[in-house]
Amino acid sequence: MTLDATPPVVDVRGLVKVFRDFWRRPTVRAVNGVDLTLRSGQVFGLLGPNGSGKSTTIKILLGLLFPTAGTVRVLGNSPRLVHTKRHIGYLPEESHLYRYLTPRETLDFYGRLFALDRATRRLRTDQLLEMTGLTHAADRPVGEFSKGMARRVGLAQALINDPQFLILDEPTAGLDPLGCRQVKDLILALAKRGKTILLTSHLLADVEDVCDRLAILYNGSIRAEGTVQALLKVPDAVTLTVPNLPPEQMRAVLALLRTQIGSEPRVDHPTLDLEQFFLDVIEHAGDSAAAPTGAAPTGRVAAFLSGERT
Amino acid sequence: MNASSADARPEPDETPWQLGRASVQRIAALAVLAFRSALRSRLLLCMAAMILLVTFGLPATVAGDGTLAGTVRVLLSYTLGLSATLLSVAMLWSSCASIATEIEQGQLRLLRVGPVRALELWLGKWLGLLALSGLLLTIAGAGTYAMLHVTLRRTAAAPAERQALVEQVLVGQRALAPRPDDVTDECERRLEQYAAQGWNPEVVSRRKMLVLLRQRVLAERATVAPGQTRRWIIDMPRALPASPVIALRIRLAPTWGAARPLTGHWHVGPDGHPGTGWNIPAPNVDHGLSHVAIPASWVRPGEPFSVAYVNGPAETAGAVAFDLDRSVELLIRESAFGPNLMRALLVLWCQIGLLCALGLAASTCFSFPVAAFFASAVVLLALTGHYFTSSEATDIMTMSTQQISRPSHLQTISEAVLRGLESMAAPVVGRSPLAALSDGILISWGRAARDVAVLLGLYGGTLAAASAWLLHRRELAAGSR
Repeated sequence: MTLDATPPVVDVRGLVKVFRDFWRRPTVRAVNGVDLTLRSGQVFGLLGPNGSGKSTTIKILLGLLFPTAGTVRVLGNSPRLVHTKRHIGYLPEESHLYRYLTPRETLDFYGRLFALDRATRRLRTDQLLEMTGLTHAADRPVGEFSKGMARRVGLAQALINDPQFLILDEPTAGLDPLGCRQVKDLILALAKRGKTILLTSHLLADVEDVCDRLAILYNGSIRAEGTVQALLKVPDAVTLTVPNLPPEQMRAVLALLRTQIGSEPRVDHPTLDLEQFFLDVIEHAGDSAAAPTGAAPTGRVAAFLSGERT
Repeated sequence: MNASSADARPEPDETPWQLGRASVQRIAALAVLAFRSALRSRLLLCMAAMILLVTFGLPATVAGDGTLAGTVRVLLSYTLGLSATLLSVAMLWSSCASIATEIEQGQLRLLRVGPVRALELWLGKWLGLLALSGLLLTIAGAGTYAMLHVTLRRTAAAPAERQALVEQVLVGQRALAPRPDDVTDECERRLEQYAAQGWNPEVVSRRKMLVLLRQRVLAERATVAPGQTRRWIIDMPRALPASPVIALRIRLAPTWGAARPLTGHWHVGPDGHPGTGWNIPAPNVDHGLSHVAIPASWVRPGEPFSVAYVNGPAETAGAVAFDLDRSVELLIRESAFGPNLMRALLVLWCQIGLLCALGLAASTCFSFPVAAFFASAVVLLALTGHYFTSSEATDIMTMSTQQISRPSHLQTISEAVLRGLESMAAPVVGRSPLAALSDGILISWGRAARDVAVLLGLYGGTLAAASAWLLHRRELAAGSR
């Protein structure tokens, strides 16, 4: 079965959302005729400038807002049904956690809402705390946490039910590069297991790293949609990477290229990207560090999320 | 929510009050969360400290009437009453903040993204607040009980005074009220007089005039002139406790002087048995109250019992004014003080639970300050509505028929609203359990069960259903785009 033949996880047709004031006069048309289809195993990026309608679309998919027009189906049902919500995970842009609860209590609480039994809750809580590097801070109130650490608790909360469909609103906001890398690895691991992920981010490099399909919203309408490769492909240019050559050999290669393409080729020295450089430094420093005070992720995806038998 | 959509309608296949097996787990989780938040935010600690301060501090500062019974009454009504009032206000405000602040801060959004129905969410919050108020009320009750023991041990009092306290206050007695007087004919006669003077039924309705006239006639009958006799009939229950302890409690009008003795005597006995009866000299009156012990052999289960006050002659006696509502009561001891205190606390808990439900309902619709104002205003109107309606009644009866004008539509509507609130609040603001407790009146399991059913089941359930429906229809994330 090809990817397009599978039933859609999200099916949005002609979605319109008009916000109204107290007197029910229309104030703004936040979403204007959006069509979206997300299939199983897809990592879909929803991009757009502030106020383009990304968050409104997401909130309609979560059943928090009601569409003015159009149809929305998530996992084949209305997103407002409890049955549908059992299979959805959501990481909001801002932390909406209870300040007085510890991460362990937070995960246990949300596990109870999903009617997980005690053993499953305990197992998943331990694995998620380890994955997000919060095991050592599991019994401190979330209110004491930095924004990044609170975000890790939020991520763990979004995954407690092992969702079929995961919505991540700015998932890397507030995270250090290590956390960003880990979130991206997690997204890829979940997609590999057939989970569907919808994410928004202003960090386009992150989107490019993990998304296999994306849409760009502007003024409530989709202006571009397709696979990342198709959208970003530059059709009339090729990058050629060769080992470092002696000057004579380099001159000969360039001369050959000039004669073949009829113009001056661009020569550049590849560099490590800053993220990879940062990760190398942290990994090296971690070998000799004392007990961490912040998040200390293990870099491993929780076993229940990666489909391992536990 | 600062915006709404044109078709903000719930899906037809989603019912907000549909509860499944997993609902219990979710409701319990939400209740534990509400309780835990109160514990961690130090609300519980602060309230417990306040209650203990009131329980142990107030009796030291408030002087009673110098008697042991007076001190105990202060402890039971004022001390426990103030604790209950503090708790009511705190729980009303906490409930008003509960849902409203979670909507503002976004926590509720995260809950509604999960598989939580609106009713589960509402019930979870309510149960958490009920558990919290139950715990605090238990602390107040236990503190009062301990303070009572300390007071009894430390206060020097004559054995007779202690005995009277144990028999009249620290006890649960079933109060049998006399049959209501049939004053229909008298009211009709007076209404005809009013009609002759120009009473217009379109201005003040016949039904309303009869109610007002009834109040006036009963007030007149509560006063017994010299040489006259006032008689009450009390229906005895078919079953009495083994070896019943029975007493007659006489209550005079609040204007009766503390040291004024009664000048007549009492005649009591089974009704309808001429020649069978006993004369009792009028006992001492203490702060408008008087008690007479009635031997068990004088009463017959299931038969009416006659109580008559025979006033003295005009030369030696003056008019005697009895309390309008509770002039005489036959008291039958049925319970010890401890269980009666527990039932009083249960009734108080139901009342506070209803306040929590009201606060949560307001919190579902409005932001915190608006919800707090709205809920406080409803409580205030429900508690004071009868003052407005009764003052209007007094006005009508004291004005001449020419002075009474046709009420405006606004007056008619506001009177209807106040009367509606008054009748809705009647089960809540009826006889206070603390007033009954400090009078030694039994708060029966039947009354406690009725309050649980009416206040929590009927009223609380109605507010829960309405709030769940509103919460289900409400968009929780309108704002950022």
